[in-house]
Amino acid sequence: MKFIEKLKDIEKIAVKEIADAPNFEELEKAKIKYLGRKGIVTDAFKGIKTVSKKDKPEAGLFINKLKQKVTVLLEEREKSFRSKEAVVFENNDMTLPGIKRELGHIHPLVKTMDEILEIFAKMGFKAVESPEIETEYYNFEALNIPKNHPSRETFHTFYIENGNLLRSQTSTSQIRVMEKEKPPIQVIHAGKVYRPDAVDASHSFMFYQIEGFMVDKGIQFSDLKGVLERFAKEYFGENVKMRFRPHFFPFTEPSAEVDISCFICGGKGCRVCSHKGWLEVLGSGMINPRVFEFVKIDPSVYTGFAFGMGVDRLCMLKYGIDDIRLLYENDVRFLKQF
Amino acid sequence: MRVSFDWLKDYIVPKIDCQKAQGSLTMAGLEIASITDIEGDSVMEIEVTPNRPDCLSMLGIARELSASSGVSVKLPEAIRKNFMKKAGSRGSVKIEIQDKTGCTRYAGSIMKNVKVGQSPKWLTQRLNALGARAVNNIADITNYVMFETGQPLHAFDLDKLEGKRIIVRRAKKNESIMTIDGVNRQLDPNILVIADAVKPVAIAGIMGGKATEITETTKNILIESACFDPVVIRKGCRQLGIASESSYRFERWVDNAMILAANLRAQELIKEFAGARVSGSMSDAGHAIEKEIKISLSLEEIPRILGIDIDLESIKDIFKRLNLRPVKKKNKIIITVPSYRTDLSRDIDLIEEIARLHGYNKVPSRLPSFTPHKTYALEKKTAALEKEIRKILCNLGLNEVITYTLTSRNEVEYLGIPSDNLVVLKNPMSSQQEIMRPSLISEMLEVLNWNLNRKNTLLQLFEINKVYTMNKATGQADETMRLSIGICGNKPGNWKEKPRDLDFFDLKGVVETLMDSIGARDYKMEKLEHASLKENLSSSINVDGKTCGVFGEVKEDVARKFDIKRKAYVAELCLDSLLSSASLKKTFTSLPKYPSIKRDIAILLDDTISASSIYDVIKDEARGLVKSVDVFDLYKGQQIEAGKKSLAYTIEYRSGERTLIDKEVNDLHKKVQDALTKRLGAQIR
Repeated sequence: MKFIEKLKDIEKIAVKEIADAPNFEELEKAKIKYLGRKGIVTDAFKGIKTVSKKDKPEAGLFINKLKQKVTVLLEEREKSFRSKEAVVFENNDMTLPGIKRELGHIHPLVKTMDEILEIFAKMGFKAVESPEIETEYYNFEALNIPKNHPSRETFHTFYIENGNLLRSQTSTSQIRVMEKEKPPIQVIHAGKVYRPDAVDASHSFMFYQIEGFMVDKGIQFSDLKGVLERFAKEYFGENVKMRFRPHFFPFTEPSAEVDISCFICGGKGCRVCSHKGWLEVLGSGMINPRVFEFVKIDPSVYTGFAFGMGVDRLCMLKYGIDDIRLLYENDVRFLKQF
Repeated sequence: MRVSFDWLKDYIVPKIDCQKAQGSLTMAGLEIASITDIEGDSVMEIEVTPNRPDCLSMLGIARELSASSGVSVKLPEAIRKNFMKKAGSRGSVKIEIQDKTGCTRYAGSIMKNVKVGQSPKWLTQRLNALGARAVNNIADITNYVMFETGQPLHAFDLDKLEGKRIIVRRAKKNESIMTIDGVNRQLDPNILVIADAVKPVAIAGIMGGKATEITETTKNILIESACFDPVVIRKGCRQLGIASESSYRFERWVDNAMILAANLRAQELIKEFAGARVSGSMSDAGHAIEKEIKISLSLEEIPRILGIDIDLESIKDIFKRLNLRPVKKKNKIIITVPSYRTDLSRDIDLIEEIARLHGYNKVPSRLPSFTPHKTYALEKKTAALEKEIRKILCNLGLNEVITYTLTSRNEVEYLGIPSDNLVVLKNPMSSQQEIMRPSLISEMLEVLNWNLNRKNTLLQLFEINKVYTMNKATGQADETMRLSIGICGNKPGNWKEKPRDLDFFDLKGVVETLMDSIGARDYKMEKLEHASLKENLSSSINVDGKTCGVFGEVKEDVARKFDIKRKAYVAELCLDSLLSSASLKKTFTSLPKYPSIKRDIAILLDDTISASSIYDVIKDEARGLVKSVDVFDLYKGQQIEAGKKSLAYTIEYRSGERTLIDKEVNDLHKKVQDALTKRLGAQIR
């Protein structure tokens, strides 16, 4: 059939022309040449009139296939131009490196916070907010830190121009929450705190803390121990040992510092734990009745415990980061490791 | 404070092993920061908490060791006999306390015919172990007794005291003193001094004066033991910029029940090691010894707070070990508190003592029953959104950063942010950290710069953190959560793809994907004038007519202020605004029942016509039947007329009600083409 023969010729030339098009512009020209309103393929559709009735279905099928083929070839070629240049050979060397995709990474401090909050959430603690810019009342007075306490002096706290200050501890959230809520209370708060410390490998003027506390009838020191032991096992591993040492914080009594057995050396003593076998990880205690008095919760009815921990420290311990500055420099070679 | 174990052994019977002692002290709350071996002696650096100033002495530590390990304390005779005693105020020294708040009690004694010289070796060694330098036997003995008892002492050369009298008073304006370290110090009425009849001879509780110090020629001395107010001393130290072992103790509180005993203890040692004799009687001016307080503790409070089961005998035993003298009265125990335990005034303080000596590790652990579901007023509202944004942006290959929230005034100015509602620190450490940042952009640019300087060139970063502004209406600072995105550098190529620079449309794509993914519907991006973003490449993100963020290319001069020499793109969005327009709740929409048909279109038109107006025409013309419009090619250049651009689109048509037939789509497509020609003057290619 003459008509089909003609179409086959068109196909041959079109295939070659599309494959040989050196650039996008030439390809565009070819596209118009074949598929444009007055294009060769478009024209060929009109030519179908000349075909005999018997051959029409076959011719129709062929021309449709031709159009489809040219369209697909044009598209493929177009795509190859759009990405880079023609893939002129087929790559069958499977040892070439794969085309990797870059994942983004959550900051290690945020990862640490999320992980800790998650553990406490499972124990029923709800996350709350509390401001960073505070008054002396919330940062000191209501936390039973008296007027002449050394930590109130300017070189331990940043003050702002209106007389308020940047909180030096997340314990402020205890007061904020207890002013608004009646027991039972079981909340956790993560946020930044500020202290005028010169920046070095282990100090920073800004760092993150997590504060948690629970107030109800019948809350005892035993509950504090139970909750923190559960936390330590989940965060540091089931085999971790824990010890509570008496300490002093104005807003808790009795107060305890909590150590875990060094998970680097297993308690034998190493550089990380200063050869003590123990790592100090948090401060805690039973909420001081004086604090309850400030927030008008009756200490003869309710008791509570509170704990606070440094997120930066826990993050550094967990990942073996030896310089706090790395956390805030945000070198992508650092960020990509987490 | 430093503690020599060899020295500590003098005060305890029976002897105790050093390691056992360390364990007992640690678990009693005296944390041992470090242990150094000095010639066979273990010297411990003990961290004494601020509530326990009574532990800033060898005797104090011995008392704690006794309470926690069961050994007994053995006091030197002079101390045992004279603790809690006061002598008469009229002795051989004339003492006048003018400032009675600054000085509650002052005792002075006189010793004659001292032989000033070197201290015996054991004494020098002990002082060295505690970090004090040996000077001469008199000064050394006063220091020794201070370390032993916690009561600071001072010795004056009696013959150099004008009028041989002591006046405790505030310094006068323009008075000055040369202290024993050879520095001349200007004084004023904030400073409490010890004066003789004419001039200050010591800065009370802080440092003695050069003029009256003990020298080789000193014959007769006056030994001072006194109590000064902690606040007065602390302020004095700050103002003058000096501190001493003596001021360290006074700042933290000194037990005035030791005043007489310490003075007599020093006399005893000076007699022995400097050959002097006591002259006349002690003068002991000021307050009487305060009465010991009593505290009552209900027995049921112990398990209520601690959750331990402890019998009465054990409780009494703990109190006795602490010299707390318990007496049982019905269901209560009444305690008499020794003068040095200022930290004990309420029943909770006693409960802490029980817990401490019973052993925290003997308190059983239990998990409390959880609070039933409850909502709190302060619950964090943006928490879920933050999490979602983090997930989306990390999936898109962006890395999260956390930066300092304190910034410099300069950086705020570089960004063109007005300075009238900044939160400014009153006592910044440096001008680099003076302002609570009003925007996340400055730190984002700093991070970009930091990385570019380290040859990290693919930078796609974000931060979710707070910004701070002063609210003029409330006079308080507002803290709001924002999201910043920073994009800069180039995407490296590989054997298949060429490298290319990241640009505005990479950022725009991230922003669009984010907005779509958090379900923020109907957001609009509009051209915007912005202080730090380039004119034609800065956009706002609006939802319901309200701007919730901006993005664009950073102005070159702004970037250069941050030392960035390449093109940088940043976005900053407000999380509260996003929260109100986002909908994180996903609901299922049925998959399309009918197929869609795609048609391509290539047009040539004026370069000034924006892609969005073309989009609007297409959407407008095809009514609800256009499902998507994609630009797959854009060309400007030599192949076409100047001032024109060539664009190619794929338009996807679909109906939600039926299958579109070919003809219908062709007609529709034709209509779109005609409209583009008519309304935008486009040539169809």
